[in-house]
Amino acid sequence: MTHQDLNSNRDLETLLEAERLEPPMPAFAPKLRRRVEAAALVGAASTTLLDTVLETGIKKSWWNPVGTPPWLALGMVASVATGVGIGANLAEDPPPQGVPVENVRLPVPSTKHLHGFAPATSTNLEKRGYETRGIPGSTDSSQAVPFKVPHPRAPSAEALLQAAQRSLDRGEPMAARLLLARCKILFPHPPEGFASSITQLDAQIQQVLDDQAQKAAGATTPPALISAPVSP
Amino acid sequence: MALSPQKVQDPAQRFRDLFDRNVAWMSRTLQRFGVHRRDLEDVSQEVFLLIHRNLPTFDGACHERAWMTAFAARTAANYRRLARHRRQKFSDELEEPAPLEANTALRPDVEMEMRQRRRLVLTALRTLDLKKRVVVSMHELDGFSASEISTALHIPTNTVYSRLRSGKAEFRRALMTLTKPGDVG
Repeated sequence: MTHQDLNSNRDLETLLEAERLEPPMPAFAPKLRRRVEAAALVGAASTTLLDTVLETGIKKSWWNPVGTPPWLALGMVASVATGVGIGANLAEDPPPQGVPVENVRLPVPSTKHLHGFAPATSTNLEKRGYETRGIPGSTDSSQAVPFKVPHPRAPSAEALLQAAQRSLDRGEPMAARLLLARCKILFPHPPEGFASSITQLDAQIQQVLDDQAQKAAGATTPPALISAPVSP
Repeated sequence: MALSPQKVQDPAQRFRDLFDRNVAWMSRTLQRFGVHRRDLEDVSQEVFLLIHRNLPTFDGACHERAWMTAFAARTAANYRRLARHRRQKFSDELEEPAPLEANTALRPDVEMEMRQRRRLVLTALRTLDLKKRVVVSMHELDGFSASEISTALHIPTNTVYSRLRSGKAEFRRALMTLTKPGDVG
C-alpha cells in the first residue's frame, strides 16, 4: 500500500479489511474467564483484591483453619468452584518440554512453604525441562519475570486427603473442608479413584456440617410453651 | 448488525456465552484503544469484571459489542491515565498486531501483507485522541451506525457525527503520512 493508493475510498477499504476480520481466541481466554467468575463470586472490586483474598485464604487456612474469617473462606470456596487458585496455572496447564514459561503467574515468595511452591531458579527449571531463556540466572536475563515452580516437598494429594480425614475424625469439619479445598486447588484433575475419594469425603464433611447446623438451630429454638392448665 | 436477543437464561451461563463470543474481539478492541499487548490479559480481566457486574442491567437496546465497547473505552482511558503507564514511553508506532487465525490458510506473502496493513491501521488509529478513536473504531471497523454508537456511549448523535468526521480526516491524514514513500508500509 502506497501513499498514492490511499487516494480513493476503495483503497482505504482494502486497508481496513484485514483489521475487520474476526480475531482468533487468545490463549489466556479460559483462565481469564475463570478468574473473572471467581472475582465476581467473592465480590472483589478488582482482581488484585481477589488475588489477595486467595493468598491470605490459603495462608490462614493452613495455619488456623477453624479461625478463618468468612470472607477468606468464601475466597477459598470461590477458588475451588471456579478452578482459580494457587498453583492452578501450572497444575492445569503443565507446559510441554522446552516451552518458555514467562507468562506463568504464581504466588508471592513469602508463602512458598505454605502452599508448596518455591522461587524458580534456572537450575530447578532446567531439571524440569523448561526453557530458561529470560530467567534470572540463565544466560539471557534481559526479560526476567518472577515466577515459581512446584516445590519438590509439596504435600501429596494423598497426604492432604488423609489430613482432611483426620480433621473430620477429630470433629473439625471446617478444617477438613479447607484441607480438601487445598487438595482440589493443587490437584484439579485427580485420577479416577482419587476423585471419588474426594467426593466421598466432601459429602461426609457436608453431612457433619449439616448435622452441626441442625443441632445449633435446635439449641436456639425456644422451648415449647408449658401447656396451659386445663380449665375445669 | 442485529440486536442481541434477550434470552431468559442462567446469568452465569449468559456471561459465559457472552465471554466466549467476544473475548477475542475485546482483546483486539483494547489493543486499538492503546492497551499494550503485554497488558491485554490484565486489562481484559478488568473489563470483563465490569461487564459481569453490569450484565443484568443490559437491556439489548444496542448490540452487545457496542455496549461492551463503552466499558472497554472507559477501562482503556483509566489504563492510560495510570502513572506507571504515563511514565513509560508507549511504543505505539509499529506495535505488532495480534496474529490472525492460525488456520486461515493464507499464503505467507498474503499474510505478511495483511499484517502490514493491520499494523498501519493500528498505528494510524493511535494518533487520534481516545474519544475520536473509539468512535472511528466502532464505525469504521466494527460497523456500528451512528445511532448505535450514540446509544452505547450515551452521547448525542451529533457528537458522534462530529467526532467521526474529524476522526476520519485525522485517520486518513495519519495513514497518508505513514505510507509516504520511504516510510514503513
